[in-house]
Amino acid sequence: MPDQPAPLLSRSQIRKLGSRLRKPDPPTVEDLELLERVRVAYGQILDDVVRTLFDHGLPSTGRLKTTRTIVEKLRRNPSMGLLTMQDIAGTRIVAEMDRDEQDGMVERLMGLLQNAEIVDRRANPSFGYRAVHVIAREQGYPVEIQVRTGLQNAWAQVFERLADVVGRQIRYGEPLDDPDEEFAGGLTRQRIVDFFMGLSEAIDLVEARIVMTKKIEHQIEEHMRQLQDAKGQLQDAKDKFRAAEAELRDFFGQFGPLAQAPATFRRQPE
Amino acid sequence: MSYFLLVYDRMTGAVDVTDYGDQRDRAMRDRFQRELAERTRPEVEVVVLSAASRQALESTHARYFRSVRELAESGLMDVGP
Repeated sequence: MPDQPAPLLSRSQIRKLGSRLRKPDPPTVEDLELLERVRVAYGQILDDVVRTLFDHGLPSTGRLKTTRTIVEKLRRNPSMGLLTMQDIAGTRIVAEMDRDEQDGMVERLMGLLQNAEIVDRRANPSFGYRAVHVIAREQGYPVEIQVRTGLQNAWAQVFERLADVVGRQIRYGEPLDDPDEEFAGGLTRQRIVDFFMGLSEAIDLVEARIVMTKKIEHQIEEHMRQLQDAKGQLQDAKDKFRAAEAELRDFFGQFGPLAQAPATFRRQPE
Repeated sequence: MSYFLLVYDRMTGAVDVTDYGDQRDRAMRDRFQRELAERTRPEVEVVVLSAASRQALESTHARYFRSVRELAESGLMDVGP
């Protein structure tokens, strides 16, 4: 490898490189060096994005996809090329926040980054994985910004660690090699994977209910404030009424006979 | 921002972390050389991560540093009362 990063390959060269890497044979050292040039260029673009986020109070952790995961993804997705792979460069923001705050953070990102698009993996999870991704395009190349709540990140971290042990294919919904093999505590590998799929849905439900509960709490607080205001206004009205009533009594006190004149009833003449 | 080279064994969970400070190019070169050297070991992942601190790194990419049990206990068992 040269000491200084070589310029990025042409789009045609990158496309052809992707086609060669997709083949089942192990990549040649020459192709790995070409891929490294692509990754170095992506790395510079990624750095720009990470610094922009940091400068706006959004610290993140950046990473470039490994050679192995790039090659695996190309082979797994025949219609995907290196140029259309959106996560060669990526960075991750994790924060203790609810979904509304997550949406707010995504809106901030959309305001900071040009030509960005949102991929919401909460409503449409990828094999249990939930988060919001913002795909920024810098100099024509995509950078994936993962925005995760604490719970979404915790699930993803545990599931990835689990995948390290039982097989990376569970991240893509592919069948396990040994589904009935015991993993731990008498549970099979498949049972553990199924459990985590269920847990992902439970987390989704909890996060949705947290937001709903907060909204209802906010509405109740608002109604309580309105109730207090209304009670205050009622008290003011009563005070005014009592003041008027007192004035009226004074008035009638002064003209008592007038107020106490007896009623006269007559029958309509036929 | 600091650059960290991680050499991670997926099967054992062992991870070797090198902090390159702000020397991104050096971290990238070493990553590439290490990746070439580990080509025949698919269980070994070689990656460079950039983060404000090691603490930030361990928060966003905890799986490199903790077991499944530790990860579950620290993150998934805390949905509040």
